[in-house]
Amino acid sequence: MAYVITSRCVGEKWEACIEVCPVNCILEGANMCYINPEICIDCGACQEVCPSDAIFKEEDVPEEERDYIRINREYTK
Amino acid sequence: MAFFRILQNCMRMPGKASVFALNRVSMRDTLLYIFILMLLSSVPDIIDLLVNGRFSNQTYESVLYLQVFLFYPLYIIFIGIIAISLLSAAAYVIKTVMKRKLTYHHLWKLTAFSATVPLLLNAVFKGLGYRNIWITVLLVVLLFFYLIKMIRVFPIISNKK
Ligand code: SF4
Ligand code: SF4
Repeated sequence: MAYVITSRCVGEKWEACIEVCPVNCILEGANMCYINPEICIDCGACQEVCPSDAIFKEEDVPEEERDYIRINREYTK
Repeated sequence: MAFFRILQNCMRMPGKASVFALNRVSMRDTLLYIFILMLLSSVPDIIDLLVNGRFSNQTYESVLYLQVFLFYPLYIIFIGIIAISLLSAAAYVIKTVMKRKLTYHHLWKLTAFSATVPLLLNAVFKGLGYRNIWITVLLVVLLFFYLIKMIRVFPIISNKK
């Protein structure tokens, strides 16, 4: 179970999460950042620093944002 | 209440699940937690101040209360913040040696949580009347023990950003 970056990151890209991730598994895209679920260790450090509240634990991703589970996975493949 | 949830996780440290749960605690809650903890751990001192201050003829009661309930807590909080900031700087050196990628902000929180058991033990020792430099040294060693164990929970990183 990994963490997922959702639509609230689009256009925001504060990158605080990239800075804090202890395993460097967050990639910067053109409009938002993405978490590689294969590398994420589930530590939660990124969630606490995100000023947009864009990061969720996979099981807590809101219904309307669940597509981002796939988007994060595919972007970081 | 956030305080008890954090305390519960701190008591389970340095297990991976509790460290990761503590990572998600906001800075605001961390500060609040450490303030409450420091105030609790200074209860023996406050009692001491009240008892000894009350029976000293030189101290006016209003001044004593101001000292005990305002200045002393402010002093404790100030000292606590300085101490955690300095210990976090030491933790920063440790994580560099241990090749972990942890920011100062993150380490500050881990240091604050690592202080839980030492602070509570400190209160117990003070309450029992044991106060000496060796106890302080022992508690600092204990804090670093927790801190190192917590840092070890994170994997070694070679390709630093
Ligand atoms: S901190 Fe939040 S808003 Fe900023 S890049 Fe990361 S997920 Fe996006
Ligand atoms: S949960 Fe931890 S490992 Fe996963 S993306 Fe966030 S900071 Fe990185």
